[in-house]
Amino acid sequence: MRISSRTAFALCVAAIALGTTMTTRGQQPLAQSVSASGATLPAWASRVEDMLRDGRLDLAAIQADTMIGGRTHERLAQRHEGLPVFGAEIIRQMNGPAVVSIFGRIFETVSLATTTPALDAGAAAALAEAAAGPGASAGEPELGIRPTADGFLLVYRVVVRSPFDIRRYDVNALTGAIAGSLSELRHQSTPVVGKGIGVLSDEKKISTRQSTAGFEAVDLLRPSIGFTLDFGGSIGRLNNFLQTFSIFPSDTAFNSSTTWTDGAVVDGHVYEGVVYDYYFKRFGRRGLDDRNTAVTSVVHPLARSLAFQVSPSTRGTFINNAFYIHPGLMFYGDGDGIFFDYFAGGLDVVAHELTHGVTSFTSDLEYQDEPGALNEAFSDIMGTGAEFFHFTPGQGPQKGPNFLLAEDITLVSPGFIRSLQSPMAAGDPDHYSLRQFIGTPTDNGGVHVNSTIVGHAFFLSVAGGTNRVSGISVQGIGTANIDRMERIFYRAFTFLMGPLSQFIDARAATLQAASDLFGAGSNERAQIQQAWTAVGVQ
Amino acid sequence: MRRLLVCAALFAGAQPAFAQGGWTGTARASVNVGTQLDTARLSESITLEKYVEPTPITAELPKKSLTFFDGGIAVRLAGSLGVGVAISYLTDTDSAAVAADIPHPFFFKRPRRISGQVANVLRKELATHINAVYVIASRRIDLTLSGGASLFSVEQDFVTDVTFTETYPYDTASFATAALTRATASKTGFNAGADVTWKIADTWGIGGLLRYSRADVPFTAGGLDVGTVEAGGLQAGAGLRLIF
Repeated sequence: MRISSRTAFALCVAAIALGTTMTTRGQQPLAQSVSASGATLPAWASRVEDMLRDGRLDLAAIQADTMIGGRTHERLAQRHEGLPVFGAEIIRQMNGPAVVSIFGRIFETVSLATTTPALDAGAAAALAEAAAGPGASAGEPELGIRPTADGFLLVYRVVVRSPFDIRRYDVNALTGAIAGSLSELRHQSTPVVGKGIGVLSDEKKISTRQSTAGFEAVDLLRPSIGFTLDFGGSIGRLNNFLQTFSIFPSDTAFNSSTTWTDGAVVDGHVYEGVVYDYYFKRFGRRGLDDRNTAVTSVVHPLARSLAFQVSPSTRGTFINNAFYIHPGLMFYGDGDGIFFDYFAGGLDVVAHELTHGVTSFTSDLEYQDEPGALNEAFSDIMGTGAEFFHFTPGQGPQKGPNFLLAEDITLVSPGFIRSLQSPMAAGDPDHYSLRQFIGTPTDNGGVHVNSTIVGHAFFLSVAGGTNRVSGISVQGIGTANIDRMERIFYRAFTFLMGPLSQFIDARAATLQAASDLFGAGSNERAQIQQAWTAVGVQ
Repeated sequence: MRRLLVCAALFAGAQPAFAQGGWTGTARASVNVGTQLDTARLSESITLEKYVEPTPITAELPKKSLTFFDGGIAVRLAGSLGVGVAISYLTDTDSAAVAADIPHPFFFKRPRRISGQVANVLRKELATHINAVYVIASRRIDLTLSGGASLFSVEQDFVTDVTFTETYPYDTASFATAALTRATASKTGFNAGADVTWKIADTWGIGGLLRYSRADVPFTAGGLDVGTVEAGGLQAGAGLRLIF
């Protein structure tokens, strides 16, 4: 497909009050960043209305604002000749009929030679299945427009389940070529080989359901029903699930008495509930979709004893890993016992994965490059927040609350997989100038690696400190007030950002959120502003 | 206590009419109505298990003076000595204060206090007093001293569970009602008393009674050990006297 001549347009209307412009960094150079409030707002508000009228924008969803009464957030998806432009979306914050802010990324112009596909949907699905390999099964293709660095492609977007992956394919609707693919699995960590000890054994209550023969790990006490499944470490059961996506009643974790002894079942089940509590009490959010969608957690997807009988890739995905599959399915690996313990044993791990669900239902940050790093960073920040919410300092076997990720289940030095306090301690960047792998397939463009730049900004804004690279100091609002910064980031990431948001957009969104929640002259806003500057996002 | 003092004054006032002598008849009977002071009604503390934690529940009805009815007969054996039997009965229905610490369904050691009232808590007390009797008689006034064993039969409602309402996130709970279980138990105790009779005629008169009786009655209700119940107390009453 030939894209008509057009100029790459990468304006970012940042600096909210000043309405200044700057160049967007990262991928998607064609996307125009919209970051409008204050003086820049009226013009954008008028323009958005025009685009809604002529069909270039379509109201995709309205979110009630659970943090400020009377506010709503409209997600406006860009369309071209009736087709969705994948990922292009702006978010309009409304206070009754008044527009408060507009954020997001859309494309100034979209041009295609044709919007009529040469392939039908069935052919596209078959091509995607073929690309995924034996045992693959495609879902329903959706015709739309894929933005690329070079222009736009008419594609069918189709999700394909294969034995050990769930991947989204974009099939060129004119040529049949695979225009791109992206795994839907949200990895907690990269594969690591090791050995270790058992799961933490602290006593906790578990909400279950009685059955005729005993008790099932089904949480009926929370508004969102939580199911915990136990695949028993069976490779056959896992394969069957990945091929059919079927779940059977017999999968539900079961115990004959009210005393449960399987640590992975207990932690996966209990922590899923704790994370629900965290989102509800901190932010007024009701589950992943804010509508109490059911959540299913799978433990023992592959037995720890199989760690060295399967391929490194399989081990890295289903044993030394935890991941989220949209909508509402979590997998917690057993850990190989050398590098990792049972992943369900870490509250921050569980909160991290569930937050991927929150992101998928809100900003839907693209899991690649800077948007992907923001996606990971938000999961880390909420994982940290959940620890501070739930754990009492100095009590229990946990090493938290702290600003480390997965410290409860990491068995080897440095004892965690990421640090928001000192990212370099795990080899991750702590300054924007050090970001890695952008635009490469490695780690989907560095989604995990670069996330710590954002996470470090969060840390500095809370606990204070001096950035190692810039030497800029941040006072911080104090760890005792961490909930305030959590609210700022939650608001920014769930209400004010879109799929293609970059780091600079996150800065603008968090500043807007801080102004919304605490005032334009608040210390909270000043600290997060200084923190972003300290990590080089300005 | 004020009623007790009134009764004491009554006896004190009757004292000057004495011209001491012995018991000359064969038997005497009495019927009384009066007040049993500071009667224990319900003071209960039990522990159930809810949400895999101990759940302490208390139920309280403050002590109160209750009306009792009493009737008795004494037979002379020799001289001024005799034996007697008397039966006293009281009943009461009232609302009890209930409180409980309900464990949190998700977390250990985060109890939620609930409290409320449960109505129609019954207390019945039937006491049979078997006494040795000694009569100091005069022309107009007889003084009867008695003491012995008392067999108490107590029927009592106990709180054996509480129901409550709670909604997510369960940080608070509200009292809904309490389950009452009725139980009966018996125990032998003691009594001692004095009776003053003002003889209006040779065969009848009116009199006043002062008696203290007591037993601690152990109870189980609904399979729970609900502790002991204080039975009896200080009774002050007055009524008709028959002399044979």
